[in-house]
Amino acid sequence: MEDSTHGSEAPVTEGTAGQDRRQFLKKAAAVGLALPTAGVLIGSASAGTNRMVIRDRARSQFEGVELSFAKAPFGTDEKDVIAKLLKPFTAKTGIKVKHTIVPWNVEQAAYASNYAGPNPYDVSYQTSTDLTNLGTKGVLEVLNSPKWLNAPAFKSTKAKFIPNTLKKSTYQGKLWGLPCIIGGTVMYYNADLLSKAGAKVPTTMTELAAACLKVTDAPNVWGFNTPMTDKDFTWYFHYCYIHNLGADIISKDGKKVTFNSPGVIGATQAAVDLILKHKVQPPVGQYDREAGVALFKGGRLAFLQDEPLRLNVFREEKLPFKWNFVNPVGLGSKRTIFSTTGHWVMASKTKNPDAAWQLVKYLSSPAFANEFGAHYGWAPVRSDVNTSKGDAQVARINRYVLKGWDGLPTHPKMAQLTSVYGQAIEAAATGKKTVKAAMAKAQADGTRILKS
Amino acid sequence: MEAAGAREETWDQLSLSEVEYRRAGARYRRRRSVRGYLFILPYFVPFLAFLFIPAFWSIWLSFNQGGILDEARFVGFDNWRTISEESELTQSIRNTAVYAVEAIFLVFVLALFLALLLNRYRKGSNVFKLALYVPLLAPAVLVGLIWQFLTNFDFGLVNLALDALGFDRLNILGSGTLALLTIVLAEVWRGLGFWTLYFLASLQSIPDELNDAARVDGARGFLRFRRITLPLLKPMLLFAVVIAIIANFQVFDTVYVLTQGGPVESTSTLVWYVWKRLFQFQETGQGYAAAVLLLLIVLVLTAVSFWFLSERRTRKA
Repeated sequence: MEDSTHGSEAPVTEGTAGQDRRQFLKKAAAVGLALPTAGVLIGSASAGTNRMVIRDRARSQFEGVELSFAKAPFGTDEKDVIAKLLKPFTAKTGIKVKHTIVPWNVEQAAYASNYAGPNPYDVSYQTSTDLTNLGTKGVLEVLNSPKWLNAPAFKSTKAKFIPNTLKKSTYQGKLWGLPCIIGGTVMYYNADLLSKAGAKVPTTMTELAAACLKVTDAPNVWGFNTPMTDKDFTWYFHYCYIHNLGADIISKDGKKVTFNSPGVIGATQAAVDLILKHKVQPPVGQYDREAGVALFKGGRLAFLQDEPLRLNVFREEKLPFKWNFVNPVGLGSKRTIFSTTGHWVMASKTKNPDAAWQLVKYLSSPAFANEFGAHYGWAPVRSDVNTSKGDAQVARINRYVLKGWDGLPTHPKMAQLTSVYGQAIEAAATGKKTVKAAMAKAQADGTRILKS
Repeated sequence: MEAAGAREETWDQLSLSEVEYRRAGARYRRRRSVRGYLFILPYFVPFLAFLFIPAFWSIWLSFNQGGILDEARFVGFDNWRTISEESELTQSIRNTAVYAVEAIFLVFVLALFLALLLNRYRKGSNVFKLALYVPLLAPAVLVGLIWQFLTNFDFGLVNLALDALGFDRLNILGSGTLALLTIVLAEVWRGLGFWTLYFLASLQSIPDELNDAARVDGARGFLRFRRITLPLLKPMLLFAVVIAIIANFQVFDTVYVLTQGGPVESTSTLVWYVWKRLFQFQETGQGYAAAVLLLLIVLVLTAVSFWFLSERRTRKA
């Protein structure tokens, strides 16, 4: 760049006219080439400077800001995983994040007392059962506003979300959390036990019962297990069954409970039959959720319905038998895996809403969600997020989820309604009540809850 | 005479008019009261802040919707009506009552028996006292885990013992009756040390002469216990019953760790019911209504215990 400039400025003092012309043409060509090159170089340099200016502006805007962030963990290593994934965010924005682990068993109590105080967690994780309850109490920021989710700058990103996740997380036009994780279940199976018993991987509930009966001929082996107590959130694991039959626990307008609908009764009856009629599933209370997983790991269980987050655990522990997973079976041909949705939320009382939104955006972005989802086996809610990391098994879940998610709708009373549903399943599965009677009670209780 | 006159003069100088006397008296009483109040202040401030005001606030919130995360809205008796319609509340009251009766009866009988033994055989009793007291120091979570292991279907001690004796294994935490009994036993195990030491201290306050005299008169062990020990223990027993009722009606942590109210509400207690409404469902009004109900139940039971074991009633009888 310097040479070209000097060349163009050199005086023409000697030589012939021809030479002068040639020299002039040479110089003109050099200048002609040099100027655009210089332009490109200067342009790129100034663009770089602009980027740095913007980045510096972002840094200076949030420099020194510390956000409090809380989440119930998906694994014991979650604090380290999140700390590692947040490093680029802090480097880019200057926002420091103070992460608090909120144990699942005291989650609601911890959030209730935290949000009641003057300094609530700026950003936290909420499931669809609690999201709207907290939202309608005014402690969460409404995200579908022109300032956040509906901002023009976020339009292209918003288009990448599975539309139904946004729709089902919205209550009366308000969305209090950005969907980030699909909660659902899969059915793991012990291939060795099946082949030993001459059973095949079932595709329906009837086939499942038949396969389990074959497997349970062996001593100390159970056919199937999934959490059956309200303590272990049994409703979460049974929700896909009723969805398979096109049913739900609440009407589409959210004004009526539908526990006594044929779909809910039919699906629950099939699940209860595995325990009381076919006796291929341990009685309620004999094994809690973790004990059920231990049975599977110990080779004493043919089918385990649990969350996809067991995938990595089973792999790391190198189970001593061949195993795989499929979608949980249903009474008919439909086999959904969906249950709830997880959301990133901002506290309405946050003192740094702009910084909190930066964090929510980052947590939802591929930069965070790819690795985080992959680590815990979660499916994404955005088309640009890929949690499979080339893993064929996870890719299967992702493809299925992205085809069209259809899970639990949010509602301010959903925590109570799901508890009522869980207790009804428990009552029916212990044989204390018939499925019909249990669901009739759930219907009455649920109706009263919606009215209160 | 002179001396007497001087003394009278002095006395006159010292004597106060009626008004002055009243003022001085008031000043003295005020000074004394202030000092007294200053002494009770360290207790009184936290009592007001953490018990008295919250108690009244809870009563007020039981007639409101919200009040913690959002603004309180007065709804009259709506919360009370809602909880009264819930079968879970009736079940929780029933479970709490059954639990309290079983736990208090069992722990008192065992603790009194052990205290009598420790009172009689004092050599090496410190080791037993320590062993009995240790469970009380264990956190509730640990107690829950211990009892989970004890009752486990596959490797729990109870089922291994049943197996060895040729009986069928029991799905202990899956059966309503057995699950509640497990909570009773866990709490008895936790409280046994405390109540044993309490009764032992009470027994040691009974003068030996009374028993010696009865022994000389030919009274045997059980008769002495019935006629001397038990009547003299009565005031301590009254206090123990009141404290035990208050404590056992608030049972929560063992329920939380072991069963979370299940199976099918068979171990749901009043405080568990309150906790669910307050924290799991964020139905603060209903939670407070149930909490106030618990307070009323405990107050009534305490009054009944006082009446039942009071001196006046005993004398009338």
